[in-house]
Amino acid sequence: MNEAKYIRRFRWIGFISGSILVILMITAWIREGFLPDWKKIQSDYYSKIPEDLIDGSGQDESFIRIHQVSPSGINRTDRCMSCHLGMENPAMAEAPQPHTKHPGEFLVQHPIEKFGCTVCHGGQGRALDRINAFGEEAFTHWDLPLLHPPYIESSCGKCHLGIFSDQSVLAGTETFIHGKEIFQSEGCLGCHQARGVGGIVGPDLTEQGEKTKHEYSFKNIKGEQTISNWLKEHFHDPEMVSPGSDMLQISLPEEELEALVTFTMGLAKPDISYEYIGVEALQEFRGIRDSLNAGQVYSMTCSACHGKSGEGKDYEVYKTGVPSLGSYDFTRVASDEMIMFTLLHGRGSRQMASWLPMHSGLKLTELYSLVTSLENQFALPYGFEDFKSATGTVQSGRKIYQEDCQICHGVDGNGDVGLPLNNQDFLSVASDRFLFYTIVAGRNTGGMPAWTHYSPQQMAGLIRYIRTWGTGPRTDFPIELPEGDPVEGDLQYHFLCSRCHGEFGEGNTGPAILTKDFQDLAGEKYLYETISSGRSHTAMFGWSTDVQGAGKLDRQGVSDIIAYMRENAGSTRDYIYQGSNPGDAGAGRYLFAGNCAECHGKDGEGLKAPALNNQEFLSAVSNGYIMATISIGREGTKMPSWGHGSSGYQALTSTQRKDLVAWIRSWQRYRIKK
Amino acid sequence: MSPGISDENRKRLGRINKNFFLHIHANKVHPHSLKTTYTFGLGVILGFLFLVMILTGVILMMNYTPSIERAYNSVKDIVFVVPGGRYIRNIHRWAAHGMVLVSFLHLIRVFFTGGYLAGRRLNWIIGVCILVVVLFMNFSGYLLPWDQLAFWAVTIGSNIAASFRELTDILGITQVLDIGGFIKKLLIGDDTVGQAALSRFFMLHVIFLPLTLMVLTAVHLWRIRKDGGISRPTAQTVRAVGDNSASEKFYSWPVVMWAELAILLLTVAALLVMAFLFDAPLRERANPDFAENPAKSPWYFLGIQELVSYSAFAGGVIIPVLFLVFLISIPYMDKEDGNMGAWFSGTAGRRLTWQSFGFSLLTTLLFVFIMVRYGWFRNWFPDIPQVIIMLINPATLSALFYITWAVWIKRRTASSRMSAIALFTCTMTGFIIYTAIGIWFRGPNWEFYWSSSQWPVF
Amino acid sequence: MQEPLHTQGHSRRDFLRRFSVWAAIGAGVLASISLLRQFIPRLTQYQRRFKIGRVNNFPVNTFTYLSDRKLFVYRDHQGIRAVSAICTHLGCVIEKSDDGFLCPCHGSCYNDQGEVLSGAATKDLPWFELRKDVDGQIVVDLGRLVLPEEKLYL
Repeated sequence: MNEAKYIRRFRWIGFISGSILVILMITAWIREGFLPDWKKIQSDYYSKIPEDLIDGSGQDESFIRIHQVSPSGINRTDRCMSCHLGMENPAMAEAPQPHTKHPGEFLVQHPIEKFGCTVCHGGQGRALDRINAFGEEAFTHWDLPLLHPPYIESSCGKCHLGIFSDQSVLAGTETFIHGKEIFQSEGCLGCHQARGVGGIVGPDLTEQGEKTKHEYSFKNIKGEQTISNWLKEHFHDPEMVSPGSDMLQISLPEEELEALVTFTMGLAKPDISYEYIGVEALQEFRGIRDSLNAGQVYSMTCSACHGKSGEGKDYEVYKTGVPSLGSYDFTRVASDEMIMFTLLHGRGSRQMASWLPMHSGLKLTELYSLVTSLENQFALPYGFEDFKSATGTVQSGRKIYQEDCQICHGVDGNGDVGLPLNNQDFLSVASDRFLFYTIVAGRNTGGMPAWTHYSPQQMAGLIRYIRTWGTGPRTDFPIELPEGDPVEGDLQYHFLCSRCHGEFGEGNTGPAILTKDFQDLAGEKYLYETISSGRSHTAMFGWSTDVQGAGKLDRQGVSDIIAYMRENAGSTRDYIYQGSNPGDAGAGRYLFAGNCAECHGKDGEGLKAPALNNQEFLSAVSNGYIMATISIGREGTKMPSWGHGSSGYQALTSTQRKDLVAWIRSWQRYRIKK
Repeated sequence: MSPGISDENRKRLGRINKNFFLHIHANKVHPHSLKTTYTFGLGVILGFLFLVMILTGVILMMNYTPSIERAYNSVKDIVFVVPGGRYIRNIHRWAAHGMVLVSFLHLIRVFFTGGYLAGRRLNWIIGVCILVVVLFMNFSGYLLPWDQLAFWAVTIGSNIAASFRELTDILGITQVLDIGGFIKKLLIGDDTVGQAALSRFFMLHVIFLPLTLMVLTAVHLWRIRKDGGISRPTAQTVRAVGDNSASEKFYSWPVVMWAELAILLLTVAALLVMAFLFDAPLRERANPDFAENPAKSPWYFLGIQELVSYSAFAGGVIIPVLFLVFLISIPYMDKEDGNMGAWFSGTAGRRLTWQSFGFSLLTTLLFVFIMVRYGWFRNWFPDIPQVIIMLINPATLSALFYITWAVWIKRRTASSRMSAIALFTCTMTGFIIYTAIGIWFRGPNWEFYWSSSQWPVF
Repeated sequence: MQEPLHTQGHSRRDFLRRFSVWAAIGAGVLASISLLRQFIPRLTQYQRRFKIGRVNNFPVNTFTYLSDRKLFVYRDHQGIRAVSAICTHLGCVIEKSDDGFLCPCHGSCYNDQGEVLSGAATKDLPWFELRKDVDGQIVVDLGRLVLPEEKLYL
């Protein structure tokens, strides 16, 4: 081909390409320069407002520009005003979007210059067109789409939320606050932690609201693929959405679930300057918060598993079962110590976690108040004074005794599992007050439950019946004793008393005496008389006589011992002491296999009933607790009363019950410190 | 210069000679060099693409911040705020991919027209070097947006760079001599992709590699002139293949200028069309805690990624090294200078190319089929030593088959050119097939899917 | 007296020339080495030993994922163990699956003990040595490997 042909060919190619190029470039120029939505919207806006309100240099074109705010504390840049110019203009209150004024008074406290827009509304602040700014379409690849009502209320929570504080409702956050109430009453913090408080079974929720779509798995989500919908479906059926999850279903109506979702989306620790965040939230991030009362602690952390009114969960329905805490039979048998121990140590290998402050974020005072309130669920509604003025018959007393007390204290008060009540020496020093409070408050180590359901009349009758076995002082009389030396008393105690009463007074063949329950009630005269005169027909010697050449105690000596006991009653000991254990474990084994194994498992591992071979459990309970539970049963649960027997379950004799206790106790391999 | 040159021609000579920039051109050019069906203008396209990259790159560089906190936002601002920024970024992206693609096409063209023969060996090697530099220019630029696509692509790439570990693990010496780890650390400046990688890649992308490329390009163009202009058939081959071109040369001015102008406008127009139609991807901000699934390296490395899924060392070290060694050694193995200047060096060559293509297609697809359908050694013999898998897998077997084919062709035709054509065709076909599989047929967990609509939801 | 100038040709000039050339070469080599040294990072993010908190912060019978350390920590009633979350194939971060681990990059599967079941990976996941620090926190040592069964007993 000759040169001219080549030149012509190339000229043609150049011409066509160049034309395409020019056309495209002009198109690009027009598109970028004149067609963007934000420019049209701005000029539309400026045409709507009167001339004199326009600021600026006064020239027409220079008004149309990108508006941007970049508050330094917020770490973001927002260009929303480029379209939404009317946001702060009161004249635009009735105008259509995007010119309309921002609703409500939010901008007064949250000026745009300081906050931008996306920190509350979500969306992509850097974008200049609607689809990209909203960030809802998948192809925008934006993690934080625009929030629609009511979910936008979650943004308020991100700065203002104090989970543990009482907050007056901030205007416009009704759904969010409602969600917070639901959160506080459903026991979510039993498994989840938020701001340092709660359990560790489930994931930490402190920053749940900041998770982006990509941190959720939508594999099993049926509805729309948004975070709010994920949360809703998850609350509805956690196992389906997240296979393998142990979370319980939250069965609430749709509206409540929406509120809870809104709340959950507001759980955050935003990465913005601390000046923006509310004081309650800031303090909670650091672990500073007001103490919760027992009711709040229970409903926030315990209620999900233990039930809103402490009813627990049935083993048939819920695979591991949850004990009922609201059961009368439980509260009157469980001591403060036992409940506190269980709270602090949990039950290893079960779902009950340790609620030690360093794990759970709860304060010790809150735990104490929780224990107290659990204990006081069935508190005695009247006082000693009411009893004193009441009258009751011996007949009614005998009836009560035969129904309730006989299985442990034996026929006619002879004693069996429980101490003999018909002992003359005992009755001669035990005042009515002593008897009353012992019955009403119980003695934990020995297994004496707290009987708070008797009326004053019934109590009067019962004590009158008991008194028929012997007389005694109706009231405590004072006694003059010399000043006791506890150090001397310590020596004497360990020399004389400890082999029967236990080294720490926890009881062995003799009853537990260094317990707060007992020491609070026993007056000086009671103690003095008992120690110096003894209890006839029992192994308690009268130590004022010379017993087997061990020397005798004079008044001073007894006073020393009393001083020692007073000082050491209720002291903080390392372990919860078991108390005495007179049964035969070998016999107990067969009894257990025959009666208990069906529900509690062959080795006490727990099938349809709580596990009994649990080391934390065994370290938390005294033998008395076990004996009392077996004897009385647990009303409201499937544990029958083996002292009385019930349909299908034969009563067990006290010996048999003691053997069972011994067998159960034999599962304990080590003692856990309190 | 004879006094017989006309004034007109003298002016033409002057245009080229007296201009600093046009000086690179020869005064006269052989008409064969202008044949579109010979060169397809690929080299010139490549040059102009590079120019476009520099221009758009400079604009982008003014608006970009190479810090992991700010990079992503600065790219968003380019797209949303910078006037025409969306187009400039798109052009930069598509020109980048265009450069890689056109480099390969140019390589293929030069090979099949025998442009490495007759003393053009050095230029061929420089060309291979340019190919490698272009790949790394693209790879280094790939990281800069700091989005999920970029971050995980480079993470995968850096792990492929550590492929040596498979060998040192087999030998049990990794604790002492970790070559793979060293290469990876050299590449990204740390154990994981982070600020060190971004700074390093930015430096490479805007200074070091462009300068290297400019120097190499300059030498490449200079060599073309030294070697006598664009390759063309010698007189003998002219007669053999029946080329009727006149032996008289054209003055470069104005025809070469028109040709280059045409190609420039064509290239830029095509780029602008692409920029209008397709946006450069920008996904979510890079998040080291959440991997993309599947995490894919840039498309030109997906062939290697596919091979690496069979065996890290074979796919990441052996095959790429073998490939480069092969390319560089072509002009050493084939010296049949008479074959220069004609596509496939004749009808025999064309037939052989088709045969090699078919052979490679069959064998490669066979291996892939076995791998996808039945798995490989570890699926059948769970305890088999890794060294066996490293030595015998679709990557090495493909290479083996191709080489065997080429040796057989050499025996049959006794021509080094023919065997070079055979091996080159097989290699390129294999490369294309593995790359295609990596691009279109691999989904989450690197499982085989016929189409992306079948990918499972996460 | 011109003899001394002729001993062995222009030896001083020669010597100076040779020396300066070698000095230049030497300087060039040293400069190149120091330049090339710049590309090898001196400070990386790698920490061989680090603390991960206290035992009681890890839920029982669960694999807890520590994203910043790329570790899975498993705690049961007897003790605590830690396994790497980095796939032994090409270094992707693995995910927990129902009965083990799964790598999203090439589909390598591991069981709960970190043993390779299928896929491109060839080595089992490494378990790291744990010990208790003076303040009671658990310290992971990435440089010391242990068997999957070994755990730090509580």
